[in-house]
Amino acid sequence: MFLYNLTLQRPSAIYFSVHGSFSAPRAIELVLGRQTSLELVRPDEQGHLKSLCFQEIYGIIRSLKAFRLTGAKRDYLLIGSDSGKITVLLYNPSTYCFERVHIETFGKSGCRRIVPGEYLATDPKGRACMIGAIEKQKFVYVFNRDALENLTISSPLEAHKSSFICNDIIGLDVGFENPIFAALERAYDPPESPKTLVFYELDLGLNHVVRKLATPVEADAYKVLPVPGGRDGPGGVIVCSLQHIRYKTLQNNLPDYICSIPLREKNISPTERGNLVVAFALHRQKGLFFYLLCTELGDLFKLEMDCTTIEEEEEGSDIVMKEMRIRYLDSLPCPVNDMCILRNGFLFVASEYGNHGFYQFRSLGREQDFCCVGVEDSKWSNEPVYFSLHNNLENLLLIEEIESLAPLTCWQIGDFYGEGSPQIVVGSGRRHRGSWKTLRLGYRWTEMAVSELPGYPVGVFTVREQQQDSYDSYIIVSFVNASLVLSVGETVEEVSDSGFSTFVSTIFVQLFSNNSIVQVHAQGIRHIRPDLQTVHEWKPPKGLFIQVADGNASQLVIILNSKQLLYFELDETGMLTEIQEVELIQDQSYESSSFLPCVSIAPLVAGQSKASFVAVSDGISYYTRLYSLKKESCLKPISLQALDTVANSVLLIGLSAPASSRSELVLLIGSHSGIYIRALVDPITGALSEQQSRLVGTQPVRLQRIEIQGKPVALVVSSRSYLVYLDNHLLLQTLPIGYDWVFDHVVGFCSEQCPDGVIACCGSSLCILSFEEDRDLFQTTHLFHSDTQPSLYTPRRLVDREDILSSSITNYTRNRILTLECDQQIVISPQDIVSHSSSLRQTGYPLGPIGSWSCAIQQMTFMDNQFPNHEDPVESTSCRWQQKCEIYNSETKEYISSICCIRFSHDSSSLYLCVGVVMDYALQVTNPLEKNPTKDNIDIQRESIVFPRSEIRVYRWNETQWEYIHTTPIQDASSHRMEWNYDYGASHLSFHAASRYRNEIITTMASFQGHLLVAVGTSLRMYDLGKKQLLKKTQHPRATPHKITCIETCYDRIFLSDVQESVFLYRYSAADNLFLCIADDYLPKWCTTMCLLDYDTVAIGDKMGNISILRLPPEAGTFIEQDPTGGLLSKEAPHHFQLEACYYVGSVIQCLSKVEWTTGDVPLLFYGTLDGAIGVMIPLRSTLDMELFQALELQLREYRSPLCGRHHLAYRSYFFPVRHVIDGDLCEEFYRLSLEQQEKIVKELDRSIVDVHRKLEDYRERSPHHHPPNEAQWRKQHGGGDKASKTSSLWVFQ
Amino acid sequence: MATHPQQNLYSQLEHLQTKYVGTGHPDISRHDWCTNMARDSIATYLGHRSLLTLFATVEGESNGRIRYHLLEKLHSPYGQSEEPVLSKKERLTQW
Repeated sequence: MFLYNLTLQRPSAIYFSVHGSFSAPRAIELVLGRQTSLELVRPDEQGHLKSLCFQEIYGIIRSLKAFRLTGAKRDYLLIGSDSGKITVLLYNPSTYCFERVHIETFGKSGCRRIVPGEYLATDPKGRACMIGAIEKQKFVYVFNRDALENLTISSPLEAHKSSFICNDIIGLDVGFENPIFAALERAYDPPESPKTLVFYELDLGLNHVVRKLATPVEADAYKVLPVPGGRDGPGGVIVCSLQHIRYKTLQNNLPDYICSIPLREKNISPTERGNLVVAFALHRQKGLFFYLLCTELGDLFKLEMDCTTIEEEEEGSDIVMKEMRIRYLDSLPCPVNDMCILRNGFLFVASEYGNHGFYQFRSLGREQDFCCVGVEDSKWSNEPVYFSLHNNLENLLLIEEIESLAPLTCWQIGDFYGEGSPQIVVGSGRRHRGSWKTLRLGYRWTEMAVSELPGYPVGVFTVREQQQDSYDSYIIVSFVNASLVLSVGETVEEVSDSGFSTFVSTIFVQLFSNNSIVQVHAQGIRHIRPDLQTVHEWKPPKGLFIQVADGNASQLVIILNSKQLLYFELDETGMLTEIQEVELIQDQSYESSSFLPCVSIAPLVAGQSKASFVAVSDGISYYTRLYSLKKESCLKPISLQALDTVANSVLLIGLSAPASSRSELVLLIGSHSGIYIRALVDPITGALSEQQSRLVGTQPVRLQRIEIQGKPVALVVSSRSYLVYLDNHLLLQTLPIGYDWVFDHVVGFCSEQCPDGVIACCGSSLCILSFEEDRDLFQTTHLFHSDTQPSLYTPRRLVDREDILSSSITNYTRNRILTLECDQQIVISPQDIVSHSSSLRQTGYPLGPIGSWSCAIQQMTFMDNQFPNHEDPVESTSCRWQQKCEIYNSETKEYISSICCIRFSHDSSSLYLCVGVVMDYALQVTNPLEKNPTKDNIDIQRESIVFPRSEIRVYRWNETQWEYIHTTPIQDASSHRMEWNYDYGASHLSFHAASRYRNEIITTMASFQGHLLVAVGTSLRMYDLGKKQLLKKTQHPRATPHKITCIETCYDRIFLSDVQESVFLYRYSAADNLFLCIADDYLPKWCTTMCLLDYDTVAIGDKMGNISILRLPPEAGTFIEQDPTGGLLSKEAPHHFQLEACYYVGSVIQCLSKVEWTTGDVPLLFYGTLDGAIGVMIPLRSTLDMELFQALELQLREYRSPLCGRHHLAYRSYFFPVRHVIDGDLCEEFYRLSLEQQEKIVKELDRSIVDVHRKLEDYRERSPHHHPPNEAQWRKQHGGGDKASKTSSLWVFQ
Repeated sequence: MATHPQQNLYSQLEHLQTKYVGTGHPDISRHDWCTNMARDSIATYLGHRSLLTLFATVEGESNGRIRYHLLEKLHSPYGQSEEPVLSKKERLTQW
């Protein structure tokens, strides 16, 4: 088994953000750091963030900083990663990439304890930086300039201090004195050692670092903030601890100032918990600086410092802090990972969950806002300070939200809406910002306006009045015997003085380079001069009429009904003159055809006055010919493309990407049978290459050139619509459009209100559609658009209700899905949430004590996908599902850990819902025994602990609602034993529960042969339905060593994944009523999710970010069948899984699904990560492909070596060696190489560039990128059986 | 005078011990070994931000709070006692 991995949706969690001028002096830009990638964005005038570059770094980013050399205009980017190297990057605007300036190795790779990378601090003047580890090691690098103004980096200066934990490092602002770095440290020995703030001074003259000063600070200090110094401020640091912040000055004779961090009034958690500052942003300009502090609840405080200048006789003036205040600004919806204030007054917020925000300041704190003044060290009292919340944003204004799927917790993939292609329903976000999202592949349109026309149009055109106009001036709607001319202005209205003839049916309209307009109709060509008055008419010979026409700004081609092609050019005098004509059909005995010919002329390239090619299909033969328009060989055929049927539409289009100068002339041909062919045209010779054909729909394919974001894009319209464009990575992309409406005619449209739009006719209605603006089309890896439905609490589980029934129910629409949402520390009822939803969604739910829970199970019904009604514009955000039935849990001590839909073998006619409930369950970071867990107090505390209990509640579906049946308590056979979990990770790394008492907690349930399988801690039990409660049939007390996280079943086999020890395979022996262990894995894996691939094979995803595929060896399968003892004799697992494939993705794997995205195609393995990335693993077709890709990977590792210096192979083998998986993301970087580099690589591979491109595109298209319509869906819509056979034959063609 | 090869080896080992924190030795106590393991694990959790997010999502806390707790925990993840908190026998009975 060989797999090809492709990322479909990029991770959306942002952990770092830095601002600066990266591409040009004075540019206002942001670098967003995700776990494994970098993105450069720039806000435009309206405050929309536009992505300039996206780079996968194939490494883990741990810290990110920008710095600027004194006097320089641009910023460098500094990355602390897991590569054991420090990287200095500079953005190169010509290649749209960050490029390495320096890379210095200092240690081993990996996120290790003593290898620096976790902390990064720069000197504000850009003279030095300090990179630190969590323990012991710190290095200082000195930056300088050489004679050519290039950045130089010194060899590292050590500032190690062993047995010291480091909590934070900053660079102090000391003006141009020796750079000083401050670190918050704590020694291991003695145990009661305090936290100290240590100042490291870099002596630039002596070139060494001294540990200058260490002052003790609060024991709960966790963060240090630098204060502007030199001539801008008093200098010094602010130390944050849980209760307060302390300003520490560097001037010896002055006292510290302390200011309490205000608490929320409603917050009922203990006050010693404090209010943690999770992120800060410093804004400084001449004469002013302030901080924004964001707390863990999302409250935003402004920290102001008033300063005065004291004149001192010897040393000149000195700035001293006079007063500091904390002012409450607003509450953000959630805590942030990082934030930064831009120079132009915007605030970027990288949210921890929910969408990222881009805000503008309305005011910087008003008089009436809550304010807390800092006092001197000695006068501070420990009294908590409370403030009252703003229920809405009052000082900030939300400009834009960047959609985020993080944290993605669960999903289901299937065709829930009956649309013919699957949707992904994901649970994302947390708490009050949790939501259920439906992801659909493709690009979304919104309907701007719909109007009824007096008749059925036969064509629609848009035209500008002047070449330099940026918006269209006229819309011409053509009917059978008339034309309607609409003028576009403030409103769209009919005009008569436009110069267009309204008494003829328009075939074609074109604006020429001299601003004259040509209107082609059946009886002639009207050439309207710029003054709109002078009109020249050209008429075809008697008895003939014009069938089709096409043109560009200086050329026009028409085809007459006699199959003659006439070519006109605009001459110097501005007149249209006929140059040449040609007979399309050489022998005159052609049979008349019902199909129209079609023609397309190449667009003008900048700097050219004439295009060289025209593509023609005559409507009779199955060929499309390319003719030359060059003077010396006018209308000579150059090349030929065959189809299986007559062409319906041809289009020559010059595609180019926004971030690249490369342009491709592409010939697209759409046939009557729903196939479209695309070929690259050589711009000199006109030779066709790289032909690709595919089925796009069941109706004749029409092609139209439109513009999106100022770039030409081809619109392919059939029963489904697609966009063909060149993306930023120079990849020719085909993206479906999420608009289920068959257009009759469509044309590009650009107006002030709708810059990237189209006008489409459907029946007798005309509608204006606009592209969704918030998504960048030209970014490859954003293939999905989403509809959002807010949830009550954090989404945890999705159970497809019908999946058990799928065999019996043929109609897959009106599907139902069950959702489980729960949150700890929240005590708010769903009714309260609904009634105060707007303010609660902004400020968050009030917190309750640890151990209190809010849970809800809801049943969602997906509504039928209705075609949009013309009168009623579709709400683009409407999520077409409806909540029908819910089970709320009012008891706050109960936690619902799992749900399962099941049909019991006793009563297979009704559907049951089993709900696993855990009572008295607390899940917390701080272990109750954490403080000094000595042998003595364990026994005391053991007494006081209330052990959690579990029970299963059973509900029956009575066609309208879930009816409660009975409850079964789960009793552990053994006595209560406390599981003292030493490893902090073990208590954490499970998704549902960090279990200290694991034997009592239901973790998951599954249906198995009409029985209920329940995983209770380590034990696996089987229950059947009884009258009064569930009846325990059998159990295995220790099925896995630690805790069962997932159950998958297949016939008599049960796959159990353990929280720590990978997968175990059990067989249920009905004769003995026993679970028999068949196989286990050699290697430990912290499984989060599991997906069954076949009877022997299972794919697992783990917390570390690995996807592994395990297979039972074939001989083991036969052995099990033939084993006379039935495996009863062996104590240990007699067999072991073989590792088929293994791959490191880079983030916690949350979901795995095997999906047949296209009916009849190879199933693909989808994975979703916690960071919100969605990827797919595609089985490789042959070993030849595998060899090619492996060789390509090998070359690309050299040519596109990872930015941070991590070795690509080592990165993909982070925890286990990568096996049998090709990194498609790396392979696609081939497109980003220059032509010379590509040639070098293909020479090594012994292939041609075209071969490699085709292979890459082949696999890109095998991902759910393009989806031909489902045949059944097609039949349902059209009710025809005869045409369906046609579509099936097309599969053969494809 | 040439040093004894055995002695040289020891001094080299000692050097490695101090250079690479957390490297074990044959006489390491259970408490030390556990502490080192836990500290290494915590360092990994802090380095991989998505693991931190996972903990935060599970427990309903903010990433910052989890980070704070982990850094506090780094000091003495197994308490100060040199004696093991649970005896070997106690651990075995759990299995």
